[in-house]
Amino acid sequence: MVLETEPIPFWPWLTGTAHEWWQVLLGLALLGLGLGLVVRAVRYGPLDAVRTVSRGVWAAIVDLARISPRRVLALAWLARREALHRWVLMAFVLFSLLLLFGAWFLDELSNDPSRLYLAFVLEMSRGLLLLLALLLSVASIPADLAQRTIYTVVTKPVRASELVLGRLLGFWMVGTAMLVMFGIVGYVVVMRGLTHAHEILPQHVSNLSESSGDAGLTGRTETTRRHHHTFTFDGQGRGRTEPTQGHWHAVQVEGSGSSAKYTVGSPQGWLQARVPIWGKLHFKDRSGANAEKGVSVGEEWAYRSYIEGGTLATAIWRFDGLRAAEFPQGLPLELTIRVFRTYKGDIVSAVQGGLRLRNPETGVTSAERTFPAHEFTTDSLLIPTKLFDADGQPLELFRDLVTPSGAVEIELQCITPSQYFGMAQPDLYVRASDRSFTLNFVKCYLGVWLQMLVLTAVGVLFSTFLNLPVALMATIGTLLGGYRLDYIRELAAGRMVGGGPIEQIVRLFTGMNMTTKFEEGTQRTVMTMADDALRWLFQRLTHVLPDFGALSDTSFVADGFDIPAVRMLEHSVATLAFVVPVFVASYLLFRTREVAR
Amino acid sequence: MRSRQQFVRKIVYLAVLAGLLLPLSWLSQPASVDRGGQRQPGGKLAQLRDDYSLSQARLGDIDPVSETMKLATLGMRGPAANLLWTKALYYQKIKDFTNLSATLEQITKLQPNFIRVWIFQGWNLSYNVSVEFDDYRDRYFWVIRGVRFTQEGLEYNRDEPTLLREVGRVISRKMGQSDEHVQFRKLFRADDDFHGSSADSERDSWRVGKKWFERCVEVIEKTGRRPKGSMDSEASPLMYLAEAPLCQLYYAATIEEEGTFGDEARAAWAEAQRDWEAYGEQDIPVGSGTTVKLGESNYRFYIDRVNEFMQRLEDSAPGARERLLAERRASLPPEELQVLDIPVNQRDEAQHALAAKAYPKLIVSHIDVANSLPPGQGRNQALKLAVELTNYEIWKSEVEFHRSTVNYGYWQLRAEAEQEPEALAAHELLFQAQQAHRDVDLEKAAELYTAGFQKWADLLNKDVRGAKKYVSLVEDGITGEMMVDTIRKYRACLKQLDAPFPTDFPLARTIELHDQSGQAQPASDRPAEQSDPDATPEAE
Repeated sequence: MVLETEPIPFWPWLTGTAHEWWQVLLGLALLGLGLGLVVRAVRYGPLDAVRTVSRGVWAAIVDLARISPRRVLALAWLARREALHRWVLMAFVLFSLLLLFGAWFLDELSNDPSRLYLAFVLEMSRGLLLLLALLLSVASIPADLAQRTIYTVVTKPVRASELVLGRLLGFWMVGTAMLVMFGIVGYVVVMRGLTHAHEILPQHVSNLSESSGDAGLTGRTETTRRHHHTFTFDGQGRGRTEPTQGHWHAVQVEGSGSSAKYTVGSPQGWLQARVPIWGKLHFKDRSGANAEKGVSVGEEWAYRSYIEGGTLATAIWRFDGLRAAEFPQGLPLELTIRVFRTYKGDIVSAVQGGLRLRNPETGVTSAERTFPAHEFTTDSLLIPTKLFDADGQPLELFRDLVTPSGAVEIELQCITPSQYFGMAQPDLYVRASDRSFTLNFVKCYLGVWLQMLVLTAVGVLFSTFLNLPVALMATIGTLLGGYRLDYIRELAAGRMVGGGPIEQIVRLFTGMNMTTKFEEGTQRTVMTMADDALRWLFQRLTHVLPDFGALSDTSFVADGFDIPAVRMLEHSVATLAFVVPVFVASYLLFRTREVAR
Repeated sequence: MRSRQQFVRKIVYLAVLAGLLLPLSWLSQPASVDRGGQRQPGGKLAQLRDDYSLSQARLGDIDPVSETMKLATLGMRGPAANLLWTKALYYQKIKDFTNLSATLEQITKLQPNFIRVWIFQGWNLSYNVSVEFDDYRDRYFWVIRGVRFTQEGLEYNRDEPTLLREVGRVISRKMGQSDEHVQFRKLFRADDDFHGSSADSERDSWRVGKKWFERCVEVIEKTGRRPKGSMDSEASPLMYLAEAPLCQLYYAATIEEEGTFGDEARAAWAEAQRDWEAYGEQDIPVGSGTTVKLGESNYRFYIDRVNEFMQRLEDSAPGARERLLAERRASLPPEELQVLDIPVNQRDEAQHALAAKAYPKLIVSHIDVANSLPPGQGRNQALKLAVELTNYEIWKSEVEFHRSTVNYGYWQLRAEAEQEPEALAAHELLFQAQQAHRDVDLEKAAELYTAGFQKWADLLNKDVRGAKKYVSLVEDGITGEMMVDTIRKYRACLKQLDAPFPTDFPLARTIELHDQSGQAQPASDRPAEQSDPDATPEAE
């Protein structure tokens, strides 16, 4: 799978982000206090401003500390009932409809239908749930204010904080219930959508060898779901199809000759949850000197860099913490690489690669193991526990090649001259184990749930001081900004081709291309100043907008990787760290409204 | 009680909705192909669409998923489509082709009648995405994926000639002329999923492409709509009418490369000749309301007319042209006159400019020749001749120009020549020679090469109705390069045998004209600085 940013361990992540979080929180708090003081001071004088603001802050602290769980739950239950009246059933029906019709038209010719199904179901769930959260959260308080039904609540002995928290909890309850239903239906659709079998007709089976029995049996299955497989038997009655569309089937035979009956098993290789151990990648250039990166072959996306074949150029992954007890059969590696040919050469044969293991402390290296490179598929290689070195001397994997601390280097070279292999750090890993796909699916939905929590909190925040349409637009803007945070960061850092936003607008309307320079003058100065101001604003926004993209784990599930617990923990902490201050801000803003006093 | 009634009402509504899903499903189920390759007609709407050949554009989209998606964009179909295009470009950049395919499906659901989407993305999949893969089988998968994508466009845009032509183009050109054409043609032939239950003889990529081009032409004749070329202008009939016959020509040439000879090859070339001549006999619109016929008889007609009228004009004003030329030359300024005596390849820039000024002054038109006659001495008659001669010359150059655009004369001659027994024998012998060379049976290979080249020379020198009809094939680049390639292998074979290249090699002229690299020439004839690679037959 593609991991453009390296995963960071939990504690370094926490210390790094907590530092930033405090800064932002403090900044916003001071900004809020400052604004309150200024506004009050302008109307009633500075002394009154200080008195009122400090009294307000103290009252807020007391209010928050005295939240009654019983009243909050009652208000949550009320919010839940309102939501049920409005949107919930519609959302579920819409979801089911879209899944039903959408499943018909999912591309059966796709080279990886499981990825497509999973991505479709997960994205559909996420999209609908966030839409539901958006509409529920922004509509509630403004609708109550417009219809004056809020007075029936605020006249009760209910704190403003309880009212806001109750709404939040109520919407979260509804969202959670919807998500559970989406998850169950989505899981069923995925399982049913991918389950299929093939028939094997005797006329499509041939026997390559003269001997009797299964050995040498080969053939092809019938076409189901717009694909078929070829298969072979290994002579011990075990048959297996070739992988097609990312999966394969086991094949069994009963009887022989024209009366043989063939049974094709369920698809394998789909719906996995691999647990990888990632290494750290560095390179050697074509002369054998250390290099941070490989060469570029001119691709626009620089995620992978390349090593030249037939030279000393090498990609080296260093793994740490490998234990013999965890890998009694050997080291299971999985590898995905790209091939770049500088000339076509032998079209039929694959470009050859070589793999070696090396002890980083003693320098002992295994003999090179050659393999044909296959692009866009994951090659599985099992490094056995007993190996040989280049001179034919026997080696033990964990005794000779892995250090006592569990470190080993895996060196990859391209053997075919003038051809290149491309790789990124996550492209080679140790497949430590497999976890349950169902659990992984649930974890992905947990990520969706966290996104729902965040968006609901944002919607409620805006609804406390804006009317419905404006709150809706503001929440949609936050959602879109949160998904396009990388783009906004690029914009804020001034790394966009064509200049800042104002400059790009001018280029668009005047039909200028992206690289033509503006002439010096007033226009350019004004444009640059405006862009600098906007960049400053975007920079601040990137610290405040929630990163919805980072909370999404669809790619893990679709690509068949287990979502690490650390990642879930980071998501949860980030969500909590966002939601709590947003709730406090919602409460404070709601308190400013007359109805809440 | 009231809320309970409302709740019950909601349950009833839900049950009704669920019940309505059943007839909706009956109505909307798409047509499909079952595991036995049988086409299932699908729901009622899909059947009606088939029965009445209904086009999406005429009826206004009846695909439920497409309609749902358009509604879901809340009037912002354009921005949604833009976003999807951006996503598609992103997925292509990061080489996530699974999601690229899925995004393209979404784009086409939003814009099913925007032909450019189908054409561009079908081409993108077949040409750009396929080359990202190293394994030729994966490349084939994506080429076919692009073809199917374009074919899907036809479901929404029935009888759209541009899409029909595009399908034919990819199947014929990509399968038949790419670097991987040997492998692609084999895979295409064996692709049961694509061909269904078609016989093996119907699975040649050139023949399948030809059928698509023929279908395109039928649709053009039926609807009057022409396919679009690049930049959305209409494609030239000269080109799209030539595509089906060209497929047959390439088919005939390719099957000989693959080892099919004798009657089958002759029949293929005969069909190719018939198709090509039928193309030549059509009145092809070439713009400004004019049409041309490319066929030999029409071309010969104009050549004969030009010759005849030229002769008559010369007879009516003998020597007038030469005299006028001499007068005009004499009236040129001295510097221009001087420049004309310098050979063209020795002139400098200034001299070229002077010559360019001088040449138009030396043109003696037929009208000038006619006008040189004194009035009353046949001048009027000569003027009439001159006008007709000028017109015939214009028509002749028009026909020549368009013939050269499609290389009409070459293919006409080639189709005839390839049916001759000498040609058939030459191809078979040279094929066997290359096989023997690959099997390292060098002496046999050398014998077969020699015999094959001799047969080809016999063809070029063959007397057909008193003329060496096929000798111009020597000068032709396509045939020449094909022969030179084989001659290089012959030379490598001789080198391995330590045998000299024959001094009386029958195709020496071919080498002289077409061997750009000098690798087919005998070593003694090659300049010293040229390398001397051992060319071995390429593995297929």
